[in-house]
Amino acid sequence: MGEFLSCTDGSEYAEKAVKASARSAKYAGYGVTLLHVIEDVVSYAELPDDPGFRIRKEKANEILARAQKIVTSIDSSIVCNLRIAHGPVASEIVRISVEGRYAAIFIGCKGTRGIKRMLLGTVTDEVLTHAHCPVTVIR
Amino acid sequence: MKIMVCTDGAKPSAKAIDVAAQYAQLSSSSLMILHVIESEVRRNPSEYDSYGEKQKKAQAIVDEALEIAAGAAPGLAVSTLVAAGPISAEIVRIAEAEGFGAIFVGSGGSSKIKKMLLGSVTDDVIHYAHCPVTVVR
Repeated sequence: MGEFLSCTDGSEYAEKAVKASARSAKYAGYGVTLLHVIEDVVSYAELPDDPGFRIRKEKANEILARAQKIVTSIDSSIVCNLRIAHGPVASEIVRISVEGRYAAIFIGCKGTRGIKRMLLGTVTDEVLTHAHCPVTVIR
Repeated sequence: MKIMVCTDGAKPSAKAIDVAAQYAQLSSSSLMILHVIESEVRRNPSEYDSYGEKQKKAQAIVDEALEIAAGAAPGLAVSTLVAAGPISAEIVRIAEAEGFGAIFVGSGGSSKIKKMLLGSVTDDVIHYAHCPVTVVR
């Protein structure tokens, strides 16, 4: 059985992408991994007691819980994994997609960072350029 | 849902057709294969009688695409369309005008350097499409 990688930062478009990945998973009988990447300036993984890290991790858990609800609302039988990663966002997404041999990446056209006017977010742009598998951009 | 796949006859397009056909079958959607003959202004492709060679080439590309789709998803309802105009503008216009729910495109060239870049058509389609766009590589 294959799996889709669905990336969310909690933004409007990301949550639309989560929804789209759940629908596709339902059609294909695939599972979904919901991924949130905490952008590390310093490596928080080495500072597990840092308050900044704790706040980010709590927020990550909230975002993923919301995404999981979206998946369950499409079909509660979809196998759904949650994953938090740390590091440069786009390269983490690409690295995980390669390692986990995901069938496709689902991503929103833009997220929480950058200029609102921008048509395509920098993370999405980078993922599109470097990914090894099909990438679905939701707008 | 109606799904569109764009082809220019190159290798990345072939992969996009394969993935789009499978997706269309799984989601009980219909698939349309679109090839756009590059032209500075939008034209009716029937005007292209004077461009006999371009028409023939377009037909060959579409026929090949049909074969790939049939191989990937036997029994799937597939239609084809040849348009003429600025490529990415036509793709985006047709997708919106005819209410397509998803667009599948290939990811530019097959050389090492080109792999690092998205094709300009693909890039424009991602930027201006009204619906989800899947880039297949």
